[in-house]
Amino acid sequence: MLELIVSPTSLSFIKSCDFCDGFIIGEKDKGLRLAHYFTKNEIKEIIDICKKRKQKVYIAANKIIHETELISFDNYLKQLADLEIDGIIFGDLAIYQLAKKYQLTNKLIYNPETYITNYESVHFFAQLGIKRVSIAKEITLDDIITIANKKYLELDILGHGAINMFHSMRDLVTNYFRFLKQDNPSLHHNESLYLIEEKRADKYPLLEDEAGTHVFSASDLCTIEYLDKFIEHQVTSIRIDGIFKSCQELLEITKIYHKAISDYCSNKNYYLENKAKYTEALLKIENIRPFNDGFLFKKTIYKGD
Amino acid sequence: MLKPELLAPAGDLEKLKIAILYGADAVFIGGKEFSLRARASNFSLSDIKSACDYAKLHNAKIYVTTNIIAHNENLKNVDKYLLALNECGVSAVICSDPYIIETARKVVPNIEVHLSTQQSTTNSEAINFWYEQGVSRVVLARELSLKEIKLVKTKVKADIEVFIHGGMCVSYSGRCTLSNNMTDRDANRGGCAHSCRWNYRLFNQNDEMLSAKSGSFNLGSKDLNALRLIPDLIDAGVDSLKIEGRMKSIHYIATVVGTYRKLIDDYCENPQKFVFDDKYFNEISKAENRQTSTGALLGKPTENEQLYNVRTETPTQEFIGLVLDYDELNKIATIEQRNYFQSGERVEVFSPGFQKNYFKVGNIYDENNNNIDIARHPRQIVKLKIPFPVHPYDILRRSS
Repeated sequence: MLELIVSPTSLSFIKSCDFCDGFIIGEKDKGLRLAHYFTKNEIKEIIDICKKRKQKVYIAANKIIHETELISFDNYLKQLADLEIDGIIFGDLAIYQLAKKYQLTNKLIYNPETYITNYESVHFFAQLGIKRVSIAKEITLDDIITIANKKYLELDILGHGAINMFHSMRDLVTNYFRFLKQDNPSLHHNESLYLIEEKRADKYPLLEDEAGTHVFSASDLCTIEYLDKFIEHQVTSIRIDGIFKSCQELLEITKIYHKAISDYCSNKNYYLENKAKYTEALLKIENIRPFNDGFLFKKTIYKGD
Repeated sequence: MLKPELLAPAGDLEKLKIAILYGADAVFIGGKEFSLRARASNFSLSDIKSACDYAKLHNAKIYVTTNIIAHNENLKNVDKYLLALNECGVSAVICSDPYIIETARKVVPNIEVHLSTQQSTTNSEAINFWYEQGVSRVVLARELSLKEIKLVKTKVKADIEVFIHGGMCVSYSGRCTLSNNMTDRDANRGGCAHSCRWNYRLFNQNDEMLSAKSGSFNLGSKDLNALRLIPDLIDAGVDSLKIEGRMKSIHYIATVVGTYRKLIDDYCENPQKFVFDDKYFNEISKAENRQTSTGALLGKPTENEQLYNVRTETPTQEFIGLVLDYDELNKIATIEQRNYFQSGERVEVFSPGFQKNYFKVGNIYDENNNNIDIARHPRQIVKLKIPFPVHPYDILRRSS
């Protein structure tokens, strides 16, 4: 059955969310764009909690790795080999190379954000013996189904959350205020700001952190009405991304997705006939970030003229 | 000392010839299929064949970009296309999609596979991964510093290619979907709308505008110019130095390629005695109309590498004509006009080998030998006396 995986906003969120199938957790300097970063001890605590509750733990080690960081990632993987975790999410192929040493290949989940857009790439990574790949957010539902029907490898997709659409190694907010010769009015790191383009009204969240600058879509991707497709075509997992969400908002969203999946499992027709109700329930959440169906029904333009 | 390859871009056959004549060891071009930079005038298969034939005559190589991140519907005929490229005599394909890489190794094993910068490869382990997949060369991410490049180079078997000049992504390449999200155009399939260069306002969570009221917040990067760091990159053992810009003019290609050719040759001839000279900068400024910086080569980019000031620099010297032919007996050159010029103007002739000669324009004649004094029509064919021999593809610039 479709796994419901959450990237949590805090340890207390994890404690109160005993109904999802797993969590994505990570440490600073190893994971990217997480709603919250945990310490090593917290990670151990979370693993214990999840083990008792039969929830899965996925470690996000998805940083783009520069040469001098290889050693620390090597050590990190060595440590992870001793933990009872269900997967390691990575975005840099260095992790694949390093993980071989620690027999971790079958725990690897490749999520390079934008690169997995066709079934042949999935086949390529299936041959490498990894556990799962995350499909890019920028392809259509039809394309997702085509890929899933090949059954080459376990698939993960973003279920609900912001789409990261830009990552620069540069500190673009800091640079900008240096250019203006002004003090940076934002906290240097981790204060979420937003951008508005001069000809558009959308607000794009922007975050500057140790890994550089990240810009996100104005609306969250929401897939609540297409869960039947994911389940029928055997997508393995969907992620609910906690970034830019309060604990309460994330918890409510996760509950609604959980209910939708459970409803489908116990009575498929009930889910199919009541799809709109789940969307309505999401809309009722206080201060929920705007959401839409992203690229699920919008094919991006090839070439561009 | 290993002399690195100088790799230049070309948007059409004329630019390709210019790139080779002015000193490129290899030229990368885009085909009609599977290539990014869709708006660069891309080559048909018969153009690619002509390109390869021309390159062969001049001991140069042709690389073809097949660097889209494919969607399901783009997977068809990849094998056929690669076989056709092989027939043309292409030396390498530049790829980023694993399927295209895998297929190239399978169906055209004698063509090298180069990993595009779109894969944003930043470390030796990732390079070794691709090397094990049959990739013989990796184009490094433009995020690497010179120090990192040196370190990486000591740990890999794959050839290393580094960008030295031209446009820069400010994002890790291949991981940016601003264009997809803002314009529906797929950045990884040739549709990049350069949304990073647009104007933005920056706000905090209280909706207070933080960006300057008079200006705007900008994500864009200045272009790259690594002239001063070429000796270091050669010392680091980089195998290929790459100039970006398949959409650039022939004047730009001739000038930039000619200058880097001269610099590489000067340095390699006698590294100990080499002294960097501003003449290389001065030469490139004659054709460069964008602001440049050293990107990430000297470390994490600061405000100095950002493109806040949208004022574009105008090239110091204008491209006025291209030599088509020269009659040595009568010292009459046939010129294709590229910008307005008239009798009495001083002209610099820029030729392959970093050669420069000067003359004053005397009478100008049109194709029917009418004396016209002013060459005012774009691409007009004119004749004029040049007191020294010139050759096809020599560049005429207005000189102050």
